[in-house]
Amino acid sequence: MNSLLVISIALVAVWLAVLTVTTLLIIRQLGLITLRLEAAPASVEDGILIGTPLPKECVSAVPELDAGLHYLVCLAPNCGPCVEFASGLSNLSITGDGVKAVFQGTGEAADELARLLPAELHVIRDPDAEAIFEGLNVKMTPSIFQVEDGIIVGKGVLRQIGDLKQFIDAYPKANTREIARINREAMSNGG
Amino acid sequence: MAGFEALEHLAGDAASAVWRQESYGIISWLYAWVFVWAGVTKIREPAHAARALTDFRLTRKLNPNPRLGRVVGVSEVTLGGAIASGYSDAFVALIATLVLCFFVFLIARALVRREAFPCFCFGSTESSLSVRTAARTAALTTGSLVLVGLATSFQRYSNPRLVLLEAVSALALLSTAALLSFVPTLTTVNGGGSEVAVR
Repeated sequence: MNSLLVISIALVAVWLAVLTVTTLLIIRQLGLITLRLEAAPASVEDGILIGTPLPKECVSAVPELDAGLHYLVCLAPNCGPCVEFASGLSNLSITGDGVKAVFQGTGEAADELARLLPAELHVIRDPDAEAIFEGLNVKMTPSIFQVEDGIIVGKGVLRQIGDLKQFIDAYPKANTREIARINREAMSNGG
Repeated sequence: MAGFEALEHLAGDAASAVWRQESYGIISWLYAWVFVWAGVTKIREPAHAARALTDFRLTRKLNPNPRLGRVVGVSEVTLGGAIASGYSDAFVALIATLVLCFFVFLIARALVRREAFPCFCFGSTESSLSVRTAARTAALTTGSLVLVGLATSFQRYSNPRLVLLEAVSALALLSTAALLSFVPTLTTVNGGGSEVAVR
């Protein structure tokens, strides 16, 4: 009886120990999930509205944005996905599509980010970048803003390098022009 | 055997620790719980269990009747109950061993044929057959052989309190093993976790 009791107590003790460890691991996983959800990008609906004319400070900083089609890829030197994104850009032949990389900062990290970008890519840095980030109310990076003839006609979050190509390819099919028209009308009506 | 004496002693100690009256009852209950657990999952989801029969080529029907899965589940629960009851111990343990040997054969055959499907052994429909599944079933078969040996050497306790202690010990052991199987999943960081900088 005694030895069986000791064995039983030992086994239950081991079970309790393992249960405690797995409970702690589950709590850790919940914490990681919470962190990830908190770090998840805000909705693409946040920030400047599609259909809004490009803010004046942006046009003053980069006058060529007032005409033609441009894709402003907003990056940040201290953002891991942005660095990854910048490294992947050289594998895409999109430099002729009006794509411009915009990022703030003048430190070593910013220079490193600039080195990662393809040499032929149009890069907008401070102080012009600061004006664009403020004007477009950039909430997250990497993100993209599509500007046509001085009007914001599209925006999105770039989660991976393939998203840029997809964003550019999808534009002719997208109804962003219609959205832009509706937003413009709503704004002119004071809505 | 230079250098292997310690290993020999360890194996000897382990064998003497298992070959005891107390271990016999606990191992019996452990197998009872294992079969009941496996059986109950099949009774709860007979369609998956029936599908596993097709995957293992035990039936030619592509969409077997879920009743087949339920029959397998009830059989396993019955076998678990028989082990727990303690009647004809050696005979029941031998049947359990043969059943497990058959499972090992089915899993090994599927692995040799490079077939990948969930075995639904303990209710998981996500994990596919693997060497780990085969190793787990082979280990259960080996333990079952030990149970046959124990059944021929010892008698089960009849005192209800001792039987309860055996059952609880076995349940603790099985729960520990089940919890430990989740540890690798819980210690990984899902998907690598790419962070997005929010400005």
